[in-house]
Amino acid sequence: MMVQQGAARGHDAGDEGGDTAEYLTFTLGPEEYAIDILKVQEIRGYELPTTIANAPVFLKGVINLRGTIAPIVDLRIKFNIGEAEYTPFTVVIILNIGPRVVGIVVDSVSDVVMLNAQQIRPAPEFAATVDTRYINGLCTVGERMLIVVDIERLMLSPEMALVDAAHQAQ
Amino acid sequence: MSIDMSQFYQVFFEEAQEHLDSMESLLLGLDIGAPDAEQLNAIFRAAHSIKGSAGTFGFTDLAEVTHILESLLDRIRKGGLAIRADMIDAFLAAGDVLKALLAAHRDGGAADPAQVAAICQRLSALTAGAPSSVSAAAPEPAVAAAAAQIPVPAAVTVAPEELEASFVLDMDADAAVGAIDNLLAELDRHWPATMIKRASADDPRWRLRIAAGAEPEIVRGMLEFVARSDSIRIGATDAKASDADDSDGAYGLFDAVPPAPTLAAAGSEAAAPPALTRPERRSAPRPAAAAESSIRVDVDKVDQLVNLIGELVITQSMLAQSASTLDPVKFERLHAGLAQLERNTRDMQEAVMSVRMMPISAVFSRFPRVVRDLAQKLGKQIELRTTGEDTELDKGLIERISDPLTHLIRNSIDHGVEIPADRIALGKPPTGTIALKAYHQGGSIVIEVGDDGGGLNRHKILAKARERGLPVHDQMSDGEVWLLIFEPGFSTAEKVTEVSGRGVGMDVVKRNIAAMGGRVEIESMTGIGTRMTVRLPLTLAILDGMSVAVGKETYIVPLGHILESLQVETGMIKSVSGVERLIHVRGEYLPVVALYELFRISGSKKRLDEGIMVVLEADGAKAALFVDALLGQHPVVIKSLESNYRKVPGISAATIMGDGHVALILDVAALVQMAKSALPEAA
Repeated sequence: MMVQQGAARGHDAGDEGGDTAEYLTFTLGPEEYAIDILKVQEIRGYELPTTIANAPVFLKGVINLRGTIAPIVDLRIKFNIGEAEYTPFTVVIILNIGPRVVGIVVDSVSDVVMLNAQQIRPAPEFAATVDTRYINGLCTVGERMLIVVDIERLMLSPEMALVDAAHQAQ
Repeated sequence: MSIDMSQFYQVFFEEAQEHLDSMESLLLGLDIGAPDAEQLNAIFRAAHSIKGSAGTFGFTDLAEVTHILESLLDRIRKGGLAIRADMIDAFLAAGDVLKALLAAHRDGGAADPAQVAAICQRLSALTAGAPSSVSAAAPEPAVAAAAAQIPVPAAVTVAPEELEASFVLDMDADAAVGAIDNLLAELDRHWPATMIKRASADDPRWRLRIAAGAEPEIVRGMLEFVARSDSIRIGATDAKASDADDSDGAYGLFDAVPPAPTLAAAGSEAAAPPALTRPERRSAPRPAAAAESSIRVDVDKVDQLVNLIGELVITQSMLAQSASTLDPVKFERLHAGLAQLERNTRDMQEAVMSVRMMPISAVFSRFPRVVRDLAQKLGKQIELRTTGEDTELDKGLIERISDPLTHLIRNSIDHGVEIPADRIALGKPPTGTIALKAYHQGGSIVIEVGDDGGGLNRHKILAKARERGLPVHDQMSDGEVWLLIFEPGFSTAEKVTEVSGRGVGMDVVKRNIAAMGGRVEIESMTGIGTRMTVRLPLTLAILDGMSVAVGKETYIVPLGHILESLQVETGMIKSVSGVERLIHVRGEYLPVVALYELFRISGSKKRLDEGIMVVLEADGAKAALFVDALLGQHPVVIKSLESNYRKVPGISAATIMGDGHVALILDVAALVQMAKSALPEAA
């Protein structure tokens, strides 16, 4: 279930232009999502964050990530999917979104897959939990269907309310 | 190879910049009527140093301009030319051109060659327009536009008459006698030299006379082996090679290296004459030691150190917290060790923070020029008075305060001080004053920009505010009216000048200062003047905080804003419209900010007489913050919340507590503001 960070970091070729790239997959309820592994800094257990007053409910608060203050978003609450409970097995994916460090809480992390650019097919207009604007495409791996998400655009979108309105305006 | 050179380039750029800056401030401080010989010398040396190192590094354009500048300065300081106001202007302009050239070399751009040629011409014209010449450089003026080729600067020529050299030895008295003997022997091999005066208790200078035909530069070179290089004076015997000593640090870094050891060893057999002991050396120059023993360090390195110390402070308090549960008798040595660690950490933190501290003179020093240029352009006479240049504040703040302060000063010059005719009509002295003041007050640094001009015009500001549709009324206090000028796009100037009046600026000033955690206040009196006061925190990285508990949450209140904390009794609580909104403390009614309400925290105390009231002050307003309990007082490392998240109303930043958890730091100014705005609603 848990992915070793070493494996994730080992790869850095084949970023955008390459044919294949590595993706980290995680589940939200019954749906399985894939995100660019180069955006993933680490995966860690859930620890109780410091709550921020008057923040949206899905913003669980901020944690001390070795001296950096990082906000934690629970995607299960945000997309109203899965069970928003916190157990010793709850995981947080720490993402590097440009210069920012943000953590997301998901149901579970599955594995790392190699995906070919041709494998990712444009997503039709369908009712995914995540808005299609932030979906790069769909991909079938064996029996599974992966929804490839542009996690950077999603996290910076106004609905996540993670950045100041001034930055969003552009 | 190229990497090595570029490292040296950096040092050269920094030094040249410093020399240019010091030259500029010296020029501005020069009294044209009776120029001080020492100041002229210092200006000359600054130009000379730039020329020397520019030549070494192959920046020929820099060297060219400084060369002409230097020749002219040399003649002025030797009395061959009288200094005039137009020369000062030309020198300042030359300084600007040099700065542009320097910037061009540093950033890889190109400077305007026409400008360079123009300034060369202007300087040469000044040289040419001068009466009879003492220096060999003078006969060249006609071709000076192509100034690169001007040969021998005056300093390298052979002196036609006897030279007199005076200097202060750079070594102990023990070594002095031997060194002097060696020096005389060495000089004698070239030109006959005689000692005319030995150092004595009341004059640490040695004086030598050297026969005609000596080359001053060579003599200087020899002297530099034994003497403090900034103390060496060489001149014709009749010239008043002045006694006054100056150690302006023109040779920067290199003074620190004592050239003496080898010679001192050579002369060590000499017995120490009792008269030549330390006191004389000390009586000699102004203390320059501080500047001499400094090193240049990359700011990033210091910042890294500050961050590491921050982490260390957190770790230390984490350890202290874990150990506090241990039996103090059994673990006595551990406790003692931890106490020691705490002391060391605190000292270290202070020491590292002090590295980042710089005197504010770094900013103030640029203002004389701003004032001079602008006053001249606007036809005003303005004197700038600065006090408290030594006040220290964080380097990060120094860099960021410069622009807002420049703007405030320009504003005072443009809008504040009247033109001389108006001032005379008003019975004021024709020369206006702008007073720039810096000092520490409590945990903050205060910078004041005051002028003795016409003051702000209440009616004009109110009229303008109405015109712009701002919510104003005639009953507003003066303080509130003055603050209107910080509104975006606000300008009451009748005409838009090059300087100000476009309404951009004051709002930016306020925003920039607020971004630094500071604030601006205005005091003004019609006909008397205006004073803008900028208050800034001492440092950006660490603050003294009081941790308070509300429900299960912990918040940090900056200690500087806390006036007192108290437990209220039911009698002190006053209701407005049925809501408990005010408490009565020492004759004052304070609005209550209940943190649990504001931040919607559950599980906290609700009754005002159960918890604690923390009386806060910000922006001159007070409010009582209602919390469950006070937890403790400790320094906290400020961590930005915005770098990964966003601005949260009522919160200024975050910090990491001893247990590794994040705690939020309250934005007191915003909370007090909230209390103010909450009140009329309830009333």
